Amino acid sequence: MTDYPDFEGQKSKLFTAADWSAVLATDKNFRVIASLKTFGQSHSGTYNVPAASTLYIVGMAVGCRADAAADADKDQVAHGYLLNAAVTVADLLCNGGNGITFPKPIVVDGGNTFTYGVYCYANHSCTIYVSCWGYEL
Amino acid sequence: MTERGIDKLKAGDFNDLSQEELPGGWIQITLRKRGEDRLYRFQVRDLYGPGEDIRNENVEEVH
Repeated sequence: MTDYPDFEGQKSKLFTAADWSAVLATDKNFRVIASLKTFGQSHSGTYNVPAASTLYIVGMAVGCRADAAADADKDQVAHGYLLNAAVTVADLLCNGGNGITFPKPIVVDGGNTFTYGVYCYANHSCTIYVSCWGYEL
Repeated sequence: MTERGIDKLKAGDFNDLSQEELPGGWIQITLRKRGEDRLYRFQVRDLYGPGEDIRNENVEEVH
């Protein structure tokens, strides 16, 4: 007969392998903002994953808003993207804002560069955003 | 000795990273690590590149 941990009084808890990895890991949250961007202009951030670590990205969001009040009611289109060692692994477009979670994490091995960026595709000056999040083991 | 934000970034020793574009190719980076009551702010140009340049480093206590 299997002896199970003592769950009385919340002394113990069972985790799936994925959930336990998240508990052990360092949560990572990345965010970029750039203002005064017009059609085709972009900004990005990079993170070189330490050699002994692995980065897991589980979701991303992208946003775009007008810089001038007169443009606030227009379309605010932006394109967010993620690169894993120079390979595009995710694209997310929005008109205003959008977000997704990945059913399987994007895995960035140690020593590789992770890039998160956003393009403005509005015909007026905008502030653009991209954010992504996950954990690092 | 207080750690530098750029060193924490490269070691992966942070949880939250916020980056804002500045004029002239500079970017403003703010780092936070859970359990530490401080923010690490610095400005960098050509991050990870051969011309990497750091300025305006600041460690801010937060409560």
